[in-house]
Amino acid sequence: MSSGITRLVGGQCKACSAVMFPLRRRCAACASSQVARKLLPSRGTLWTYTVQRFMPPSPPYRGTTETFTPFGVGYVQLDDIVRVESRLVGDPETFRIGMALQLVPLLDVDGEPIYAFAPVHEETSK
Amino acid sequence: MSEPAVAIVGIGLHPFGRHEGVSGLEMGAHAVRLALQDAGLRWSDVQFAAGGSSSSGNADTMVADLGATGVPFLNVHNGCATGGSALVSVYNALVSGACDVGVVVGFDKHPRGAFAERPEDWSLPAWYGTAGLMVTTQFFGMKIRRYMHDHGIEAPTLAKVASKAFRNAANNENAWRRRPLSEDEILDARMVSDPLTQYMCVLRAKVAPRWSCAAASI
Repeated sequence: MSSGITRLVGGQCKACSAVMFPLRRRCAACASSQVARKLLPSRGTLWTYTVQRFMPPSPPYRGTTETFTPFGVGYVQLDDIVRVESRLVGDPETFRIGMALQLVPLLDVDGEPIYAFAPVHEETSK
Repeated sequence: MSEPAVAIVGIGLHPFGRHEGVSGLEMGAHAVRLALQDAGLRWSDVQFAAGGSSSSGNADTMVADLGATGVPFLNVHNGCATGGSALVSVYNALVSGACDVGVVVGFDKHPRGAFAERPEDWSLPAWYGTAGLMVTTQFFGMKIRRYMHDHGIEAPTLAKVASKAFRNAANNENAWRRRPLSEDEILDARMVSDPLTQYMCVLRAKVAPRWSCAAASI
């Protein structure tokens, strides 16, 4: 995060051009060690989704039964270059495959930054 | 070059279910004894064994129950594919000519609730777990959602599949849940990871799939 703008940092392989998220030391496609940081697009479309109805086992999940509320999870297609798994913000009843999404910052219960995607119409109405 | 013929010559199964006071390893050993009986073999005839569980211990320690014959016993730890991987291991040992009689065993007994896995053990960053993404049912919910989208399938079809499984279980004395469930009961059950309800998922409350087979090259 910088200048208050949230971006996802992935990687792009210099050998085979594959884009990956999260950033890894070696290319997820060809195992080359020549992977450069790449800022990923902040908009995408929903490829698939579900709703996490029960509190995930903790650890590893950072949360408490007192504060837990179900949340959306999905795979978001960023242009045609990479698909990322992400928390989803918004009403799960409105989620549809193919809907436009926008990257948004999200804090976990300890105030640590994680990321999420939200429907674009919600973002623009703020 | 013709491959040596390999055949499964005996099978054994411990019933699925909640069996308080019986360990996963004990259930596995029970299944091995049944498989040997089925094949007309003794444990001392076995030249190679492979098996494993996800959270019920090391298969090779079953020799405490079966007999310390000195048999090489390979522990396999490969998630849901543990039994299948053990089977392939014994098959390859038989085909190679390294042994003539082998035993395969898969077993498990889980605590209630979802798997609690460390992301680091799966080549994933720690934040993947803290953010709440390290949940098996999420993966299957998202996978079936995309499949339904691509193939024009609706939730009632998933209920038909689950209902069929419960109907079959009603006739299987080794099944845990033997009460048939209607499609409506399945659809109306507690949602776990949309679109999957409780009865579309494996009921993990200490259900222990345990099976064994004795295989031999003939």
